[in-house]
Amino acid sequence: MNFTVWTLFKLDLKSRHGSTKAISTKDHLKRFFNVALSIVLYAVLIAVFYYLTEMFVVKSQLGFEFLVIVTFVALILLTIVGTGNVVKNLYFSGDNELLLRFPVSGKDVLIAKSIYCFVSNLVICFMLLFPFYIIFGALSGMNVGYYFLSIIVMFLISLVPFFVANLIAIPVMQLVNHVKDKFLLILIVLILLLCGGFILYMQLLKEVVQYIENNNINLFSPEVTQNIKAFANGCYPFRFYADVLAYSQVEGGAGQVFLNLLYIVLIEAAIAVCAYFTTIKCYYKTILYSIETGKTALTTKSKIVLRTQFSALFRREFFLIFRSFNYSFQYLAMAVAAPVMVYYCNDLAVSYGQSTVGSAIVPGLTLMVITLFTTIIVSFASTTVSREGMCFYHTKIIPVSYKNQVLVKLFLYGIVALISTAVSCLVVGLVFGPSGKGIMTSLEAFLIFLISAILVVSLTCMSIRVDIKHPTFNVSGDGDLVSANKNVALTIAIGVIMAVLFGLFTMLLSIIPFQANGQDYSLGGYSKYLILLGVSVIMLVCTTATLFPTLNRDYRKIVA
Amino acid sequence: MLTIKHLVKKYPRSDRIAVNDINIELKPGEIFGFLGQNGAGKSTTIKCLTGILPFDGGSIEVCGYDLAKEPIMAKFNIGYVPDNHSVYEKLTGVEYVNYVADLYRVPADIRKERLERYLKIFKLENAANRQIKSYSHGMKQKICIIAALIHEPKLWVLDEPMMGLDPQSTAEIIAHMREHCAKGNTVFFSSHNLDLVKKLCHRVAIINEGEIIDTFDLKDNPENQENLEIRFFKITGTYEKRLFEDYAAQEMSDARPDNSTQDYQIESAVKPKGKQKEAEKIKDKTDKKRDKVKAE
Repeated sequence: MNFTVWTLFKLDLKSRHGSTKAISTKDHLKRFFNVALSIVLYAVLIAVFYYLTEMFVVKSQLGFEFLVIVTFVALILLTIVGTGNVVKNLYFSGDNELLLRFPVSGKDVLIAKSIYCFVSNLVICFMLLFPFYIIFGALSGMNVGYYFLSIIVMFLISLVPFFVANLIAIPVMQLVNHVKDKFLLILIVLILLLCGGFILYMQLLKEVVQYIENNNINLFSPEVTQNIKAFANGCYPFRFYADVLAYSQVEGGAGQVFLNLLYIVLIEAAIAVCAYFTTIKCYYKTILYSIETGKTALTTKSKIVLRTQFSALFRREFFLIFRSFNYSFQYLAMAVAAPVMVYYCNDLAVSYGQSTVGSAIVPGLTLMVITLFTTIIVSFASTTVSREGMCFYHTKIIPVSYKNQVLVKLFLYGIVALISTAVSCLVVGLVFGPSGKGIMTSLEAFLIFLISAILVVSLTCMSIRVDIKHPTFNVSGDGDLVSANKNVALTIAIGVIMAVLFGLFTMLLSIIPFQANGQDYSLGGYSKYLILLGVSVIMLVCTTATLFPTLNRDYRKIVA
Repeated sequence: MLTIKHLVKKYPRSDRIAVNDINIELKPGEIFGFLGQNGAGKSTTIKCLTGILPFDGGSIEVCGYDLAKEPIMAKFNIGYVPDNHSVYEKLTGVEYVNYVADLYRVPADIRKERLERYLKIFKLENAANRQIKSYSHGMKQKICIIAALIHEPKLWVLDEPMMGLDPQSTAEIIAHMREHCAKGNTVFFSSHNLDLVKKLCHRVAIINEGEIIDTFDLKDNPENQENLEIRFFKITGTYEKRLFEDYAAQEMSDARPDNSTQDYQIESAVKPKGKQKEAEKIKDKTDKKRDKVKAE
């Protein structure tokens, strides 16, 4: 590695992970919690691996097939992650323009950044596959040769996604360069991806839940078992990796092990050569093109008409959200996807709950899920002021009172969340109401909507208030916030707590009868909703009372 | 038009008083220059009088409206051009100006006429329907100026307006400032360009460390015009005879460096590793050659 590449690599590492000097106790605590959370999530992942391996290897005797499936899934997953990594680091990195000014060649920049991408890919691959291979080896009773070969296989697996990612990244970048000002198209794609991903996830979850319910029954039918075997047998070139490990357990299988390793090396070498020449040839051109077209912007003719101040402020706010990928995803895509997500959550609960606590939990669950999604949508309001960034001064010089400016934003954020909530309740009412599965009444659906609607306004007021008190004007070049600030985290935390409390309250009171001294105090029927309605109204009064009376004074104090 | 009385501004968590006891009164039809070094308090004063920053003491009146008591009415009469030309970059030029015009209640027909005129003056017709993010530094400054003028404000406030502008646009702004004042409006602007202030302003104030040290007439007062630079240098405590003489000489004469040293500079500009000795040899050679020429 030459000196320039090494210097660039070090620079890259420093800019990503920062300096280790002068870290405050608060940062140490933050890091500690992050590490603790990561360990917990990793432990959950390992538990899932163990569960799945046991399911395939011990219960279904599909060890080799499972090895092929895992290799296949891992390679697909690592290629997606790797492509994202390569696109982000090699092409979207903000330092490209900066580095081009220095006397360093495009090739050196590429190599330095590629090393970082490869190392991160390698780490992800080992984190993902290492526990799996150990669990698989332990449950299958593999010998030492297997463990030794699994390290080589892991290394070989980590190479493919990196090379493929480099190949894919160039067309991906070209596509991105062409669609970057097609806001509506991107929003539709985002919504479809979000809904599709969620539906897929919920279907899988449903399958797992059904498996848990029927775990005494053989997992796969003979037909499914046959299909899995057929898939594994024909899954080239992915099965070469599994063959290496499988033949290591066969007496006299060393030849096959080496033959399969040779196939893998040859295939990877071919992909590597293609990736190398394509990247060397296109990288510099592509980043130059990206920089040159970075300023390419939407062109649209506008009508010159006099609008009210309210309408002008509303339109401006909407355009700023709609014309930003980050904001339209956080706000519009989530709002559109929420009814789909609410429906699938309830559907899962009904299919799981029918044999356990029964469908009585559906109204409570609906309230909880709607409030959870509302929280995510409304958390966008906790960057109301921060998002103004360098243009914050504008809100101070215009002849519109701060109260009216905030009311416009409150209306915009509230109306989208309210429509989303109304559609969610309508869907739930139709599917699970009297005309559908008959689990809940129409009035229940309406009351849930009423409670959620009041919560939407309360949470929005609270989010705006939090941001007015502590705005952070950390925006990137195009005016988008660099990252979600602590206000967002606080709003989400409060929203989640509210959702859980409201949801559990409704669920518990729907299934637990309260009896004392022979009297039935059960809060069945609608009384529980009336209590929650009362609590919501109190919340609304409190949040508006803390936002509006001191709004002018608080807003005037903000200095960008 | 604008009355600032005993204005005091102190930033939170700072011991320093940013602006202390400032008093300014601007008349209709006046162009007022606001001078001071970097960090003297020019932008803070401007931010206070446009409503961006709250202030701790004193009062500001715009067209008879107290900024603290009737901020909306006061703001209706102000047009502000910031020094950092920050605008909503995701909007197009026309969308942005339209948005501002809506807020200031400018009727559609008047707005259309003004917009077309300004776009033509500032040569932005071709970019007007494009998102502002694609604009250059100067173009953003121009769209800020158009947005500030779309409602024909009584008080036009500009914070270092000429920065980054091409000569044609600078000339247009100067012409427009004059035109704006001729209609009985007032222009208040901060600048580092003493020559421009000398030629353009009726009056000028010099601020140093948050306090206005001097306010004087420039119109019909050749002596004050003549002495603006030396007064500025002395007031701001930056007066140094040599520096001032250099400044004055630059105003008068050719400021280009001597060409005879150019060969040497080119040679010495590129000094790759290992070629240092070679560069030093060339330097010696060039020095000797120059000495010889001088001696002759």
